[in-house]
Amino acid sequence: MREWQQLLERQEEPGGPGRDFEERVFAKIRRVKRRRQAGIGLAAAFAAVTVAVLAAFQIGRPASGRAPLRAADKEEVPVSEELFFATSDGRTRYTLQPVALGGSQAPQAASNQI
Amino acid sequence: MDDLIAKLKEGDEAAFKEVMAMYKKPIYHYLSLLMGDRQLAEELTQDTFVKVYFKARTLKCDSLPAAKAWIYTIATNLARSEFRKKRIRRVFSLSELGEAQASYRPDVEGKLLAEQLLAMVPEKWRVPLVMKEMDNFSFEEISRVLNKPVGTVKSLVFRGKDHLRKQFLDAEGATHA
Repeated sequence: MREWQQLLERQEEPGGPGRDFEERVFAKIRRVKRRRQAGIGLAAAFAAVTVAVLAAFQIGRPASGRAPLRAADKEEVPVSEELFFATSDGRTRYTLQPVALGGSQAPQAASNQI
Repeated sequence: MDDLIAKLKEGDEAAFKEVMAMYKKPIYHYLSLLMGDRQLAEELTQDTFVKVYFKARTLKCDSLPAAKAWIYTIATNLARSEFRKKRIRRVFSLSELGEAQASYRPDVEGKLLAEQLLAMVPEKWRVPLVMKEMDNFSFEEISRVLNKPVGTVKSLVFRGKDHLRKQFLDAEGATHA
């Protein structure tokens, strides 16, 4: 066998890991578990804060009054009246002047005096 | 034995301890040769078993050889990650010598230490070489651990041996000069 190969042959195994090897492994495992639990707690706290902020600012809810009105909710304002004001001798008069629609005869104008 | 792996997968602590007792020494030996640093090897061996503990459920096979290959894969990946860190550190540290520039330090009997020579073999050849020559893995087992074809593994081991032989002859020449 060649000399350089003997080098590999005579290489002795190192004694092995230290006596407290298992304890150290379990200590690391406990550390990782704690870190994971802390991570889960942090994520839960963050989620709770996010929900609280969204609720406080009502983000995500449908904006009231912006939704299109249904036909039943609409209030029809008639445009069959016109109001005329006139002043003379320090008095104000108004006339309520009905408007004729669809070629029909408009009723007599109602007048009053303030 | 297959029952042991099944228990390990279920998270049984006794099974984990048994597996750790079986493999802690071979893994430590393997990592010592790969890293050339026993303290670092012990750290990485600990990290290997921490990963085994948390990832045992993801193990797909129930056989002991498959579990062994899986544990070696974890150890190899940790070693590779450490190699990368070392490379980064070397880039940022001008005072540190590169692998090829490392000096030979014969032991008390004037013999060259295999660890020192192995440290000069590039990582891509060192990993399969150590598995084959030091840990007596078959080419098929190395292929499974490294996820490479058997032919590629054979070639890598051959190149690693060739590199090691040249390093050895150079070192012998240097010590006898």
